[in-house]
Amino acid sequence: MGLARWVDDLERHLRLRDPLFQIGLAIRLSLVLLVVPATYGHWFLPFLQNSIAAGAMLDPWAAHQATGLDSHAFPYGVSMYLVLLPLTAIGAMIDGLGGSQAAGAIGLGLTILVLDLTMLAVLQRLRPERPRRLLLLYWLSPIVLFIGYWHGQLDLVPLLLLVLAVLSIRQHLPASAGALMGAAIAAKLSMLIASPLLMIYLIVNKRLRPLLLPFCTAMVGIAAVLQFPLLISPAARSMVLGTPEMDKVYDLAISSSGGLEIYLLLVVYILLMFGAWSIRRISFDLLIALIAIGFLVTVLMTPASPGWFLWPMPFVALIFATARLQTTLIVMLFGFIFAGFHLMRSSGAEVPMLGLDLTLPWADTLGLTERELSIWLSLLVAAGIVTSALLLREGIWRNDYFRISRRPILIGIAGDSGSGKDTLADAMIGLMGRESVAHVSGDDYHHWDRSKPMWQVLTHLNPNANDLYQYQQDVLSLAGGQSILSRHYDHETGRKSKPRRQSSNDVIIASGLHALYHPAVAERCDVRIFLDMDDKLRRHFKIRRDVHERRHKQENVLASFDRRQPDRENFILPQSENADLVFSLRPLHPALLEDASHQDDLPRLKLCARLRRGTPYEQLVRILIGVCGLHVEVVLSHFGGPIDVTLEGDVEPEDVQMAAWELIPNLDDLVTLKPTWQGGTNGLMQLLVLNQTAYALRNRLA
Amino acid sequence: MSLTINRTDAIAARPGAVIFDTDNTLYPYDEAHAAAMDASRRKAMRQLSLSPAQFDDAYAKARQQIKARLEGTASSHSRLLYFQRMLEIVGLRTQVLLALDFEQTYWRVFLTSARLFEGVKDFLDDLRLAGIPTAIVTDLTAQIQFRKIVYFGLDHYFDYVVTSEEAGFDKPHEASFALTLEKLGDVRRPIWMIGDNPICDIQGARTCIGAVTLQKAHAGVKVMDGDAAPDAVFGHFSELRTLMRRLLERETERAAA
Repeated sequence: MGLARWVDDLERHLRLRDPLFQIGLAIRLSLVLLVVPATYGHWFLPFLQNSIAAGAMLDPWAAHQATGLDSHAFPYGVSMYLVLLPLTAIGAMIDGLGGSQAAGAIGLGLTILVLDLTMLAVLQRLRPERPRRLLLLYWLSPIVLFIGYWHGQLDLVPLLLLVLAVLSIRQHLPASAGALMGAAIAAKLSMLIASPLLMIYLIVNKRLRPLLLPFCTAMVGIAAVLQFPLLISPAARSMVLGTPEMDKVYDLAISSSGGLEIYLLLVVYILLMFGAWSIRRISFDLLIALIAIGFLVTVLMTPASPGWFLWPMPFVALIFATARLQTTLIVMLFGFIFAGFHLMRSSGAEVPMLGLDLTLPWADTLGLTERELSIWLSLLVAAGIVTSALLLREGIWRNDYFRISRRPILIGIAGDSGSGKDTLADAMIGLMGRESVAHVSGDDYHHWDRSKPMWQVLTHLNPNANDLYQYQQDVLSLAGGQSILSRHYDHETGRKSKPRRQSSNDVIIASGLHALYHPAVAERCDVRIFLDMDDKLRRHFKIRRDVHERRHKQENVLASFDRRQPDRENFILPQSENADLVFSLRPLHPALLEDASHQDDLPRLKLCARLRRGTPYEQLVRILIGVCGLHVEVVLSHFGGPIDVTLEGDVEPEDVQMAAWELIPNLDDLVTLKPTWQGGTNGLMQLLVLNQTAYALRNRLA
Repeated sequence: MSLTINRTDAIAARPGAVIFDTDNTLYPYDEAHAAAMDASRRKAMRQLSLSPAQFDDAYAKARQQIKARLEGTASSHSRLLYFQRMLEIVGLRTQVLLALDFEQTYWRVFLTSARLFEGVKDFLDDLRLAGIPTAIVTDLTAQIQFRKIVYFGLDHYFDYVVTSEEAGFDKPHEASFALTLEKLGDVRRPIWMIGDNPICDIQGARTCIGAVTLQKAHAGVKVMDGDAAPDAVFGHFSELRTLMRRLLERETERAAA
């Protein structure tokens, strides 16, 4: 039973039954069993076997140097060595009995196969929606097959560590991510290329900033520990740091004056970092795209070793998995051109069982001229540039999050006094994170302090009692990314503070009596919310708040109700016509509000939400019924009319949280690291506003 | 696991209707149940300071008692009753709010952890296009089974749903099958029953309504041999799609000939 379940899990993660998987596995197994790449025979196996034979696991580099063999045999760090050792050692022991290298090669090949399977499982986990496309793009990639199993490079080891680090970042496990990143760097220094991008991702996403320190600490700590052999072993320093591979980054250069050169790769890489930094918030998919581009640019702008071409492949596969099939075919064509070129140009493998020695580049055997090879190389570079351009298009320009994150999200919340505007604004700040939200309250734009005589002739609901022009200017400035100077109205003292600077942010919440009053603001809002409330309920809540919390006199509060009614009807209620979402709280049992014995009880409520036509509600309703167990009534009144959704039932914060994760794709990009989910009607409003926000953001792309 | 047909003559033509079990047939039950129980256990540890062993022990006792008392009825599966009794067993007497809270925690996590088997909707769509009526016949109460069906977005696919709450008895009692047959009306071709349970679904449907039985097999599902064996066993719904396509093509060829 346990084995059956394990097979079921494997089947789900790797798609064992898929012919594409089976073809890829068959190719791999055949190559592992039949082929010994020249790199294995000349470099890796002698290095690993010598370290085992000499019992020099602590300093295998020195043991290798003592043999006088090729000093470029193993320019990798200790984590690479540790990953490769176990299966190769078993193979070497078998070889020791028979006096050959075959079992060691199979051990090393099987290590690569296990890592490859793990990589596929991780990729499927990161992009579960397109499993077959991932099989095409990664598992059947000619680049992956050529590098891993014919040419025999070991770049899969640091690359898998890097991809696992990225997965850990996705799961908000900064210490694990840092440790894996440190191990990746210790395995191969070139993985450093990706680390600034991961750090930028954690910095520019304000909600993720708390993860930066543990990530960096673990990365530096693990990298330092694993690089320790470099400190104590001159042989390790010479082989790892002295590898000529490191100098390739300087190969593409423009001559400058005085014999100096401008290194193009360095310039392009810095521009890429700056581009990443300039994006307001980087989504996870954008991070993947940026890493892919970073690696691809590196391999295209250097005389890269074939193994380097493996670096971008997992990330390229993740980006193109959701793109059109045509794009997949172009990437596969790039792979075939690569494999063809390097079959001609780079070392190959032996096939001992057939007595074939194909280790020499095929160009030598076939007698290809330099011109012919150069044409092939040009094709390879052109295909690489096309792939990079497609990465830019699919990964960046067509990335929803990139397009919507170029300007802040503006949420307008209007409604009468006591309708719950600040409560809803706070609830949304709790979700989206104080670090990511700038909140403008209409109360800060009342013309006068509470004690001023003008309030005897004007109500707060009258637009003339408020500096609505300044409110509009400030909201639009914040929505345009600019800072403002604003005063804050203190409900305790009834006075406004001195002006203070408020910066723009990723999300702007503009709440107030007249938040949707000005057409320019209403038009700019991504989400327009109007809060209405059953009249009796509003009176009930207003008394509770103004009398009990703000210490106003009850008779004054009641008198103000009647005085405000004309302004409410003229200036407040009409804003609901501009709203995408009208919330109306109603008592479940209206009679209880009038019952004096229940005056101190918190009334049980139902939430009525009016959605503008076109707003998606079907999935929302399914989830509210299924996950939250609510009673949901949907009424479509007439053609073109709104959708009225009435929600009744108890709902816990956990219900709202799970419903949101089910409902909103990429919710992770919208909410803070530890969002505060609420229960009851506030929680339902959180869910509906998130649904509306996701819809509005998708509409921005239309 | 691939499609194995034990009785070729039984599956030689398209069905007149197809009846489905729900739990562990349309989605894997065990994982969702494990996740839901884990969430409930953690809640009990957090809110009631129970140890995992105390919770598991009390819950198992509660479940056993409720099942013994209400054997064969929909209520015998009620999580609400299990949690109510569990709280009583740990000495808290009847805690109505807590019992409701535990029940909701269980189903919330259960549903968000459950995913339909791959190809279920495609197969149902094939049946719809072929004009073959479909029904669900399932144990448990209507409230939670309806929630599941709505949550999975299956409400538009099925013509009828019969729960053991409605029929009065759990499968393999004939009441559920008979009521399904009654709702489906005049079906002139053989009816297919698709389920995972060798007794409740396979033997039940064969004995009660003479259905052609197809068993969904995956980890943890017992497949019987001999006379008790289902007419066909499949692992993936894609295999049923292929089978159905073949049967429909054969029918078209015969009609053309």
